Amino acid sequence: MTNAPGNGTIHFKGTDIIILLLAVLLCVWLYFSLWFGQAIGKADTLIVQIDDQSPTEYSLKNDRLLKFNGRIGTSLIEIKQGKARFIHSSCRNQFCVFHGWLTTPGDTTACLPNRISITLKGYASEYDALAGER
Amino acid sequence: MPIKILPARLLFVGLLTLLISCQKTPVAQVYQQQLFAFGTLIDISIVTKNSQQAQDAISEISSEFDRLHTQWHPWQGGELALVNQQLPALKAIAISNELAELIKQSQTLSQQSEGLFDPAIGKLIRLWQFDQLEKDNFQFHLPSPKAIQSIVDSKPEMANLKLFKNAANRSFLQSDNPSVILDFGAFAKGVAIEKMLTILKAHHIDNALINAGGDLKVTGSKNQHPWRIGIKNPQNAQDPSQPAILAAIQLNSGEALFTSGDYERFFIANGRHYHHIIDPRNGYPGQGVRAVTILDTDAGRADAAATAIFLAGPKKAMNIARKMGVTHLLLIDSDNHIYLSPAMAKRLELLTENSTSIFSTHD
Repeated sequence: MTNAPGNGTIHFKGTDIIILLLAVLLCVWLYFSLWFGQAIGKADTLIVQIDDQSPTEYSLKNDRLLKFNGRIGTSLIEIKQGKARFIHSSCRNQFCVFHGWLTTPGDTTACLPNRISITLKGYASEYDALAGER
Repeated sequence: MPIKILPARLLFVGLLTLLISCQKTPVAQVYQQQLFAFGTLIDISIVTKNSQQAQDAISEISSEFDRLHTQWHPWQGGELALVNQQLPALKAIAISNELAELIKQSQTLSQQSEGLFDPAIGKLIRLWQFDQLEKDNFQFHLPSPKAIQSIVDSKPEMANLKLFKNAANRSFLQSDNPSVILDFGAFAKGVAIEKMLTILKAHHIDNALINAGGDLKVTGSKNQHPWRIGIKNPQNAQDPSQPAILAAIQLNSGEALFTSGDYERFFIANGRHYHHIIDPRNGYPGQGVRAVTILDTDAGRADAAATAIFLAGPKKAMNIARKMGVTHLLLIDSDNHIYLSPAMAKRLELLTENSTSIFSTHD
């Protein structure tokens, strides 16, 4: 690209055009991938709250089993493929286990007798809250 | 290949603008806290620059929820429990003005709902043990049809209660039916949330959301955007391959969203599914409806109406809604067909492909 001073024109070569086009394409791609990409609206973090303690966060990227002690005993929580659930709790009714997998940001369930809750969080959740039975 | 400088400069500025638009918008300063209170899980979101202000409000809310939970629990040592012990004697009982107000409001709503919402059926709720869900030391047993029928036949209803004040402005309550026991399980949460909003106001918090176990009310907005709520899809509870969210809705300041559903709190006995919404007309869990969601500016009314309309079913839903003064309702029947009131249809963004119909205003 040469700039001939004085005559107000820029001389573009063929490669300049290609680079310019690539730059425009890169911008468009970044725009869509950053605004509407996979990460947005998907859960990536599990928040575990035990009684009145401050909550602890776990990444959903690594499959693992978490064991916690609550008021009446232990609760076992499974993280698998970006989802989480209670797989055991020392309560009799097992509402938390019946709830099944949490998959969406904002989704939450708790073992109330054991005072342990699990909630999913995403990078940019679509909703400020979820309404409905829980 | 010559190009004029001006268009080249414009192109450059254009590209820069595109890059800048990739920047994230500023993150809302939302202070969030979860409480175990009122027999459920409560999520509080407060938009503020001052986290101390949020913490002070939340700690007051937390103790207020605890106080109301004790006072309004049907049989655990608070004021209502004491009242319930004395009611069957049919004598006048001195009660707090706060409890008198709760009873008065529910009498009105009960009458409007044609008795579908009726906190006087505490005996039935106790028989079904749905007042003990949060307790750990009990096992569900199916009540005997005979025991259910004998309570239903004794016709306990809010109209059996008389409220009056003495010369010193003290409130009194008297029952004329020994079968009346009060249980505000379908109302207390709504009334409590209204009280929490008053506490927020006293702390000069204008933008907040209180979500008590999936029933919620908002005030203000979240950084100039309305609060955006996802309504859970009941089908997802049994079949995780179904979409998790049924519909999206944006709430204006002062609006509450309350749901009565059969899909989370239930027992299974002899292969049958027994949920917690008991029909005062026959004493059994309501049939034919999976969930009802009500949008209203009064959380207490929304709470009571969700229960009443769940029991009313699609045929009577609009009629009962109108009598209770409710305009926005969503009902999902047991075949997963969606019914919307015209006002609700305008507000909701449905995200599933369930068959849907809109109630006519003449229903």
